[in-house]
Amino acid sequence: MAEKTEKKSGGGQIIKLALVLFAVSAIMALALGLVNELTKDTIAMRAAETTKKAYANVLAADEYTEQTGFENDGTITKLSTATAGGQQAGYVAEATFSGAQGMITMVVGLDDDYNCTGVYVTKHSETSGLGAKAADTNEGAWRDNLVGQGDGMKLAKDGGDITAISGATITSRAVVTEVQTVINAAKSLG
Amino acid sequence: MNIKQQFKEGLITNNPVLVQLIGMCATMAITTSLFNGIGMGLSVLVILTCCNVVISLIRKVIPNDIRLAIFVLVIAGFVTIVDLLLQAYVPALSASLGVFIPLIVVNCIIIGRAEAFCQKNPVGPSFFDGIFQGLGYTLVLIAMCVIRELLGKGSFGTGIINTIDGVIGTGNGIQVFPSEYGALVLTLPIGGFITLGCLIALMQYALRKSAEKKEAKEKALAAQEKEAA
Amino acid sequence: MSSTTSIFAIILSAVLTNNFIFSQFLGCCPFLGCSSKIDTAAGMGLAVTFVMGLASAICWLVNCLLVKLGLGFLQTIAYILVIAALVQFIEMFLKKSIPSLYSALGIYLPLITTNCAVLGVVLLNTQYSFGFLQSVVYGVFGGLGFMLAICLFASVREKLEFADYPESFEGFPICLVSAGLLALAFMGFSGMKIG
Repeated sequence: MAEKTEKKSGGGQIIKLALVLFAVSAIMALALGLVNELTKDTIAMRAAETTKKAYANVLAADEYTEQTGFENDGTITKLSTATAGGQQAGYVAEATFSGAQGMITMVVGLDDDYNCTGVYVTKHSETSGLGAKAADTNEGAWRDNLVGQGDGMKLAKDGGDITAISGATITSRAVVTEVQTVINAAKSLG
Repeated sequence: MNIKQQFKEGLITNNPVLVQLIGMCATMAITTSLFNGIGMGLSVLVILTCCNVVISLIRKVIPNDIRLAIFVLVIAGFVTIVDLLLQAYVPALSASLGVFIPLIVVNCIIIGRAEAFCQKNPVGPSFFDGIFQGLGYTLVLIAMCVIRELLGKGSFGTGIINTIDGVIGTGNGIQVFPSEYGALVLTLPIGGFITLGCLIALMQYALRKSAEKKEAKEKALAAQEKEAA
Repeated sequence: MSSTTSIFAIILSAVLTNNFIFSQFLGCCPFLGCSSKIDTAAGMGLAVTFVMGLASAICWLVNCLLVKLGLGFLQTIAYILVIAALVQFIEMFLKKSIPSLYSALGIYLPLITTNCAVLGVVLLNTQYSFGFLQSVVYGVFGGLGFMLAICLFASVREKLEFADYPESFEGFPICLVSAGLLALAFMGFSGMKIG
């Protein structure tokens, strides 16, 4: 790009350069628009699928009904009540909050007594090998420690009984705090 | 320049990462699981090949003054296309590579090859250059991933090999030894720097040895010729 | 981090805890290429800080426009064009108006277009949905973090000349290994977090 200015060029030359640049930009933008049009629906579908899978994973139910008017500190993007077999089974919330490295997006399930039934991290950028363990969904992963925890849950370091991921206290604390936020929100629904 | 020579250059003697020392950011950042490594490698390979072909095709009509701007435009276009396609069809990869997919735009390998090779060579060689340089890059990524994963977490092929339900992209990999015995530090940023440092050192060692061998051979040949004379 | 993260927390994160080079691997090429002497390193660091701050501000505006028009998919291509044009303008401006600064920074400017820290910071600004002020602060202090890292590393490299290491590690490999050790030192900051 450095060469662009160095050449002493007449007005015609500059117009020609601008035209070529414009033509290339236009072609690329057109191609992108086309690909975007082709992939838009699939991308939206994938996102919906992931969320659906996460919902079923944290709290299996027949129907999720979105609720409004709950206590929210800005991190909860959606809170729904879950019904299974015609009975209220609990709550499911989608939340996006700040972890150690970047934003974490997570689905949290609560049973009817506001105890955690599971968490499922759908998006994160935590350090691989440390904070990323919070997103591990395999059997025996860290997230299992949260199941059954209720109101007032805390890390062992903060006076509770949840062991933090070793080397990733900040991520663990962020996840635990967020589950507590969801509990508060669910309770505020009454 | 023939294909065989290009193949050797891309993979070994002029390997983009180990010899040309370019495109290192992503090499160190994403090589924590085999899935990431192969995914990133193949994405770069595809983008590099497409850009090489297009740039080589239009090399005669690009005004020299604004060639870098045009290269960047073409590269950014292909990167976005690949990014969108990955989001649509391989969402797991797109999620785990995150910001490093759009950052392929500034991966020096692509702009470097455009500047050094494609603007001087016809489409055919440029196409093969893209494939072989891309392969060379992928191989380094795979080597980094295998080393860091095995020594850091004691596993092999996380994301690719699924021993539970066989779905590709979510696999747990094969646990070679329990992860608590792994040197966790290798999966952290510092491990990226050190592993790449050791790999480049190994490459320098190998290249030096082969150069010495060649020299010795030539010397022996020269001596023979002298004797014969 | 998110749109509600406080300015101080962003500064701390950009400079120390999530340093662009040592924990996010953004900008490694110039980091390794321009760090053989402290003055070159400082020059590069300054130029990067300058461009990162400006690029953050302009790309924030561009992103607003793109979102409004529903053209979010053009983000990467728009950002890289903005950065390329910006670098070009800064170069022209400095050459004409502040020749002394140009002679100090000029040679680094063209390299910045392909510095992934610059594109990285604007992409991250969008990802974290930062506001205007937050974006600019993240850009400027990310750049300062880059400068801190590159200057520290340059001073380590000057000492490397006297070190005795295996011949095969000559050049880049030994640099990478020492950068790794510096990254380890920076990991010590990772426990710090505010807001």
